[in-house]
Amino acid sequence: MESYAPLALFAVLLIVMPTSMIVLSRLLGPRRETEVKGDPYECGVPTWMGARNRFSVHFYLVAILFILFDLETVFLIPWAIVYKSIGAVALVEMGFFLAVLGLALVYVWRRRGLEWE
Amino acid sequence: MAAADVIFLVISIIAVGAAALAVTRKNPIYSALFMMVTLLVVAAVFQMLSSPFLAVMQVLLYAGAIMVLFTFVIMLLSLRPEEMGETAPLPQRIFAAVVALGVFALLAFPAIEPGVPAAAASLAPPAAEAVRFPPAAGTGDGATVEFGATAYFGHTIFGRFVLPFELVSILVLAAVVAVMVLAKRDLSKRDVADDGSDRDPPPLSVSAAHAGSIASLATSTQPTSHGPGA
Repeated sequence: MESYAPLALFAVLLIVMPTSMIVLSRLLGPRRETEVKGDPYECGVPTWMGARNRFSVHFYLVAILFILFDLETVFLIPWAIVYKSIGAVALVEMGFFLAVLGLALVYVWRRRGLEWE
Repeated sequence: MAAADVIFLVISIIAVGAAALAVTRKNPIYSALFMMVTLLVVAAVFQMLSSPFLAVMQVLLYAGAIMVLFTFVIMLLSLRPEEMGETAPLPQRIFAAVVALGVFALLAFPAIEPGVPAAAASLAPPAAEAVRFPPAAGTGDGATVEFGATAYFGHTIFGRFVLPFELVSILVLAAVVAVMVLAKRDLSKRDVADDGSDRDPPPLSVSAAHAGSIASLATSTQPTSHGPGA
């Protein structure tokens, strides 16, 4: 449990630093509110349309495919750690796993799932 | 009460409270944010069960990637303010309640049935106990690892549970094919012509103005935009 001490310290700093910055600047800084200052802006350009626009459905396809292949990466981490102690069998096990997912990638590629059309 | 009990009590209250808030919010974005709180706190539960790997993956995959997916769906649908807070018809809500209670009963049953926790405990080694994994087929070095460590996780997956692990790859393959069939069908005219099916309306269709690029998203006048700044 002692190995988590740096993490705990980091978490405390993470909370204290931004909180103190916001609180101190609010307490010490002058606040003169004007209508212009209250305007929402984006990159300095005045807003000209609503924020609630629909996303293109293309993003969704990309996101789902990302998560599925992200899952594949997750299994590589414990595999890399235990690879030496398990030996060559681990290579075969991961090889099959990656081959099936490679097949999935080929399928997506051939069905032009990676194209933005 | 030990310190661990107090921590568990606090994170359980946060998890259940955030889950309740997620269900009751009118604005789906707030629901998604509260669901993210629940998922993050579940990561803390995994950490308390001495499984740091699962805890990190819970944060990266669930609180990160999966929640992005949820947010995408909310932004795809882009509910207008007057559509928020609409509830499902009563039969559907009763059915949902029955299903939820059924799942809860299934999950709670092992905890209250006297024989089951003992049997489950006998399967798992006690926490913080080092376990010796022999090398497979005499090729590797073998290892002695602490329960719950990432290496323990790896030895369990690539040793005892290697068949389920390989089946996961098939499952992901099936998911990839399903995604392509569901989401890609309406996007590509040629793919529709391939299997000749135009019977069903596309399940994830958005209006033609949105099916284009980001550029069209930015330039087209949106009849559905009801933002406060509009």
